[in-house]
Amino acid sequence: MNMALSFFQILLIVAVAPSVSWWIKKMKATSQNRIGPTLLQVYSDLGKLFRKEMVVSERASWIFHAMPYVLFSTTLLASLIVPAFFKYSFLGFAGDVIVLIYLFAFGKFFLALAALDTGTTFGGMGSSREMTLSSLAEPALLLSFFALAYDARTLSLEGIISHFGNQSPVEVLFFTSLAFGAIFLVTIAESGRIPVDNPATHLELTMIHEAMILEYSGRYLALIEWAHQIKQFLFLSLLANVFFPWGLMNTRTFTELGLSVLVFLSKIFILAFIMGWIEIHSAKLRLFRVPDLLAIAFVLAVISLLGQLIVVR
Amino acid sequence: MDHGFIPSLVHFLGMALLVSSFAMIASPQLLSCIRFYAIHSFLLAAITFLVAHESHVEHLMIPAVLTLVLKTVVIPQFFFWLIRRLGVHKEIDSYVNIPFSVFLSALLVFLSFYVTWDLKVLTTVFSKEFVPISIATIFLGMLMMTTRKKAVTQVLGLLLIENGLFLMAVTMTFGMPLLVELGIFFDVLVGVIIMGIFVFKIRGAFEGIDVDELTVLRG
Repeated sequence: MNMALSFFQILLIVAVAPSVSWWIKKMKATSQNRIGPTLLQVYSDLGKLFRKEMVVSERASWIFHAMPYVLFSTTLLASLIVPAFFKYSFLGFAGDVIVLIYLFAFGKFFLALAALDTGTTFGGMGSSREMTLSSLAEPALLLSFFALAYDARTLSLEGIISHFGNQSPVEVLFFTSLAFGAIFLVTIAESGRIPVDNPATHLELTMIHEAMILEYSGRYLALIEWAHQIKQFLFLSLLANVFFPWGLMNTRTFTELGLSVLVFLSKIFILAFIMGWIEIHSAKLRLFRVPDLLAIAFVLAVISLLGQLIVVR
Repeated sequence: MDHGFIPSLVHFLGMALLVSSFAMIASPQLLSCIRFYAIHSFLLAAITFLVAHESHVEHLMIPAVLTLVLKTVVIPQFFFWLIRRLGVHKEIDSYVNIPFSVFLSALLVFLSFYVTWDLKVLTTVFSKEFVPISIATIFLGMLMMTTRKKAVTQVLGLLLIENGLFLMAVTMTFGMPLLVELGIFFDVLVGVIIMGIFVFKIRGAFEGIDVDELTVLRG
């Protein structure tokens, strides 16, 4: 039963992930008095990319061909660890937060390698930028998870979630607010949203993620885009479930299953709304100012960890 | 572990206090620095109020209200007025750049948590987490006084130190006797006004409030 539910959970994550991107696109379009894409558009975009012919540089080595599969499969593995609407995840016994973070880092490493592989200037620029930013984002993410784990006495996501789920909401909000701020900033940076990176343009001065995947087309591009959307969805569901751990399913009736899926999706879309709101209301930061934003995340994470240490002492 | 409502609120306020002193260090604009000072003082007033309410020490209410009125409203407004009168340009000049000073202040916060880790002497009457936080606030104020070039920001650093000392006094001993407390508030107010006048004088003599100029002798 647990297995079946976990399987359903992965299917849900993989299927719903593109619609979060649609939600933010639609918000942006509405704010600019445009109509914006329909929900089906994001899926048909993916489908069209899957059917299209690929153009591959003749200088490309095996890394170029392996990268989309590596990226997609590491993201899929990560989605096996993150609980969505259900407290248990399929690989929860095998992996904790550290495995999750380094699965993302593994995919990102291959992404940067493949961008260097074809030898274009944009690829190299994009991967150097991506690596710089992720070397700043990763410690902030790790430290804020350590702060949460110090309180919960476990690094596994299920443990953290059920620990905070048993406490009263106000206390959880007060105790984890700084870590929430840190992880939220990291989420914006990792999913390439506007104060850090602009997902909608291909402008050489600003692009980070787009610069790395310029050489890709067809099926590979579809895999990369989809993996990116799943990653964004996973970060959002981490935020939703770790910091607002209410409404997750305990018993196994069908009504409760439906209810918890509904609660989960509404949490995700509310968080995505906040991200979209920030995207609408802010300009993209200059590249050299982005480390300042991530430094804020780092400071928040450090303070929340120190605070936990002093409380539990 | 088990958190109650009040301990978690206290924790939140203490952490927010630390974050707002970080924000004072990190803010690139003079006006936002002053606003963060106002937020810092507001949180300080909230903590004082909470201590007074929870420990039934009613005479602490008076310092709490005074902090709220004086430090969150009067002194920031005085600074805004001062900046308008001086017409100084709004960026903060510092001897070290802002990311590095944030890094330094993170180190100082670590240091203050480290030195208070198992000091048995420092027992508090209220919540033990305020010892490192108040020491960190004092350190950050010192950092701000030593690294900033403008006289106004140095005064802000001094006020940050004063906030840290006040927090320590409140949480370790329920504050000083009321008369002393009132004297301190009066001192701070008069001190800020005197320093404001002093800043005017510096501007008049050197056509700027950069304290680097003070080292140059003029005949």
